[in-house]
Amino acid sequence: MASVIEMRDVHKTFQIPHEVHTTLAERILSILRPTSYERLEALRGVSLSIEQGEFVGLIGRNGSGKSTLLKIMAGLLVPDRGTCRIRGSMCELLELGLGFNPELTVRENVALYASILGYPRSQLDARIEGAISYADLDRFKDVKLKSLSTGMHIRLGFATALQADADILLLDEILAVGDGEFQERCIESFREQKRRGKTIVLVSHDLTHIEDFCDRVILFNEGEVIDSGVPEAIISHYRDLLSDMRRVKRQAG
Amino acid sequence: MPENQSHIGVAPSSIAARPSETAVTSLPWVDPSTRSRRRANYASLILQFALKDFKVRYTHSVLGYTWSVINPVIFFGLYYIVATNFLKVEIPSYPAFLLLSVVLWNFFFEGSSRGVGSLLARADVLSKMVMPREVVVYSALLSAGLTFVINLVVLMVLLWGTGTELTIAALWFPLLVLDLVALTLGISLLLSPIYVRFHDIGYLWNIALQVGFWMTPILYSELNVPEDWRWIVWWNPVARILVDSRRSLVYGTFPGLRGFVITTVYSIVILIVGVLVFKRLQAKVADYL
Repeated sequence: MASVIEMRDVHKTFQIPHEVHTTLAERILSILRPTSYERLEALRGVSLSIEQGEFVGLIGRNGSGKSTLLKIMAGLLVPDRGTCRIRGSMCELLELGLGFNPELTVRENVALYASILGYPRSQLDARIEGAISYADLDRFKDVKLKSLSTGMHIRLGFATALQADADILLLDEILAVGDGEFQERCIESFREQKRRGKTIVLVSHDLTHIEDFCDRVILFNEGEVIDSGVPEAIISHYRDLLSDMRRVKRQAG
Repeated sequence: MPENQSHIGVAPSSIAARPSETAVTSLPWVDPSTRSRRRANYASLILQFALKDFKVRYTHSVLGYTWSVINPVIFFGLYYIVATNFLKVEIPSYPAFLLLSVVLWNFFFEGSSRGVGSLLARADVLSKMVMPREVVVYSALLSAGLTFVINLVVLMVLLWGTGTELTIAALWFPLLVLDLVALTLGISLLLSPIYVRFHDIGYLWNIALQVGFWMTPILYSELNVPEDWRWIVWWNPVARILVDSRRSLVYGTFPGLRGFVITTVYSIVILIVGVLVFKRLQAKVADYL
């Protein structure tokens, strides 16, 4: 099978200012001394390849570079070094309810999102309706988004993303918010996507879900891929890593 | 492997290449660095962002859209009282003169301040979704344009009410508006990506607009400016547009081709610089949002 995502030696460094000046006095004083930056190496030479139809889970501790990687795949961030090849159309869902404006109605929000995702014009209305009914929000179509619950937001986001019918889906922690029923719905749609030969890349801290539904898991640590393979093996490697860290911390403390 | 593929690498210093145009059905290798690989619905995005911005702005207000009229009318009234009674400004057809100037300045003010802040204002969407980033700049301008069009209607009513007759010279006005649009867009494209990195731009632009308000012949005529100072007027593209607009709309005289060409070249050069700077900086924008 052909690889749909191929990354070679991707590096990404962020420069984060050490201090944030919130008061005017701080701001004035800070003119006198140069701002110092912390170099945060989010990714240090990541190479990976994802095949068409694969369901890949990315795991690792907070700050290990998973989300940065997802953003580079999506094309939101430009790597400092290295290449990223993507084959196929892509849809990213990096945060729940993103871009959704609380003051607008459910339908208006979906329409806006749909334009970003580039729904085909001929099917625009049908797909917008499709997304709303998939999210079970028909009754709330003309309600301002702010009156919906967080769970409904993510449901709507996920439904809208699915309607884009992209070849590759990038998902960041979307299972974390929904209730059990929604998670089942998600998983059902994942299966459906897989049957249709779609590729899914999922970042999650929920190891049970990762284990149940991923074909392959990639483990990140400090901006590097440290392991990749079948879920059980990689998850146990990750658990070892976590307990090692706890031990080190205890000894240090 | 599918047809239409291209391997696009990202070198440390340069962001190369545009995405290859491909049929929707094929699976293209696409540029991961700069552009949307989806064909975002460009026109509809600009329109939707602008209309929604306009709509959201006036929710929770009793008078709603009327505010976009009330605001300039109140300022017009205020300036009128101050200028005619306190400062004793004597300019023929002053009400039409003043309202036209206020409406044009208002568009420039609103368009450029919204435009310059647009990338940051939409940080939530831009940092999470792949879309052509210039869309938010265009829609900020369009949103200011909606207010402008409503204000023009008020202006037309005033022109009619004061018995100002439009002559053939009024045909210049749309061209001058185009110059103003190009200028405002150029400034927005130039400053918005820099603003994301250096918030000082926001403060600086605010000050520039305050200074601009007094240094531009809005309340007064260019003829009130002493000869020695008049270069300030001629070097200010907004002032040039204002002066010529008043000639064409209020006084019914042709503004003069040479001056118009200079204004147009001026605006277009700023627009081109804006486009180039935006193109260069936009890929890095997400790092700072």
